[in-house]
Amino acid sequence: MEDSKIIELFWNRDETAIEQTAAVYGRYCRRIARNILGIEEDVEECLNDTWLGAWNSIPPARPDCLSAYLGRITRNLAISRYRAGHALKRTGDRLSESLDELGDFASPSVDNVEEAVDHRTLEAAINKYLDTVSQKQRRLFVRRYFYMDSVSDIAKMYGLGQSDVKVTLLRMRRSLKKVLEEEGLM
Amino acid sequence: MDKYDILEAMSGIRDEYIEDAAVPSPERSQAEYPEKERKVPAGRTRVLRLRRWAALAAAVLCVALISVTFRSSQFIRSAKDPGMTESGVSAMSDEQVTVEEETALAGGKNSAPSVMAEGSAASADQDAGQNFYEDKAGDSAALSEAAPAAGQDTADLSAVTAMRDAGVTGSVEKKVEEVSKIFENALAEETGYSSLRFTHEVTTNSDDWVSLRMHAFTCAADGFEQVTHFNIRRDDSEYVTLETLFGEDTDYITPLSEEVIRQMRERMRQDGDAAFWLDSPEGPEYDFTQISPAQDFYFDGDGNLVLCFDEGEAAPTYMGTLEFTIPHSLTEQLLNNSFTE
Repeated sequence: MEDSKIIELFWNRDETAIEQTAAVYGRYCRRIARNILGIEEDVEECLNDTWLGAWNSIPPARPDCLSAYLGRITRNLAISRYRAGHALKRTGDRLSESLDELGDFASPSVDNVEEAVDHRTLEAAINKYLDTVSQKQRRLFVRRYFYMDSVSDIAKMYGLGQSDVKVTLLRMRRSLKKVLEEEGLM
Repeated sequence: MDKYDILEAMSGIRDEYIEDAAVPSPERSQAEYPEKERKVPAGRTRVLRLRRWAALAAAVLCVALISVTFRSSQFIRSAKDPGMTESGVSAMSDEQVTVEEETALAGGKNSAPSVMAEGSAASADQDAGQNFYEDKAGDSAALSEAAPAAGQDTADLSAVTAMRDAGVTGSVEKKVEEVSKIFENALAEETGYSSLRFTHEVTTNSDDWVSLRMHAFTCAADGFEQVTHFNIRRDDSEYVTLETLFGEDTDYITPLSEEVIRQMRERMRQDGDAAFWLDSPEGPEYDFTQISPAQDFYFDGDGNLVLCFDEGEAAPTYMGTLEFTIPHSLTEQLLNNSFTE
């Protein structure tokens, strides 16, 4: 079913909207949830929460891109669930690997209220940076840090060596860090 | 700012970028990394030229080995039970690559043709390359033991001769050159240790068919496998493609494609982790819709037609190479249609 028809079902408060959404985007969202949570039970609950989140937010929302909208809900819910369940540091899972990579961006004075981050500003800075890179680089970045795919999966997807993917991401993290520093966000 | 801040902020990446990076298709990957954009750094030109020669020499050597093994395999296959009879050769490259502040020193030997066998040894313990040595030893034993049996099955020898006469060797050579050329171009961009290895096995040796499977395994940080089958019909020692099997006037593409898609959906239903290029969120243009007119195939020991797909051809590459066994009834029906037409 087309996105516009699914969104109409949501707007008409037709409960088949959830069924259709799960049919079309179930696998897409499951992959994101699985990449972050890893445990099937958590993934299932996260997906159910995603459909509920979509039901509660559409309307008033009328997303231009339903896949990105649902992916974003799934991602946010999965990260929240991960954070709640991982108050104690755990290493070795996929999200921990990504978090370790993003540790470059952590500033030492995280408790300082004056340095609290404005997320919208940060998002805008990230998008501004992504505007400047090549499509190839951007896809690798989005696959790694939005979809949370592993480096090996990304390498397979694009027919690249893992070292190529790692080096590209390393360079991009460094460039982004520089941009954030220039913007005064770090 | 802590690392969760940046992680959560990634959710704010623009819709268009999120959508653009949705599961890639092989076509998109190809479009994203066109060979013409692969530039060779000036300082590496000479080294790459040497490697180019090495890769081509490896290809020639491989063709020679395959040609020889066409002969030897029929002795080994005289018992008529399909199995692995591998031989292979690798084209190796090694580079000292500076990656940011890190220096990655690749393993391996010089890439001159004279050390390629040694290069194979360097990778032999990684995967199937191990079989190279085991099978080489096995080949020798099998040849000496099977020699008396050769006279008992002269049909095999005539079939092998017919394979060559049918132009199979030329087709093998063409495929090797094609894959080697891609590898050669990729060397310009690869960092670290890269290799290309060809192996082959006789998958079927029945009264009706002889099928030779050639693997081209490109290995860098990870591997990429391509599989090609060369099928010879024993009746007339003819090298057969799907088109010549069913005839150009028979629509074999539609029913076989429908059967493949049916099996894909069945596998996805049974295995939640299975994924194929179907129902792509990006739209139908990224979906697998039909087989190629010259889709790779072979006949298994039971006489079933098996359609084969390379990595990334009909599914994400993590699904590996794919095989779909076509029901005998459908194949028979198509062959009958072909005959009546």
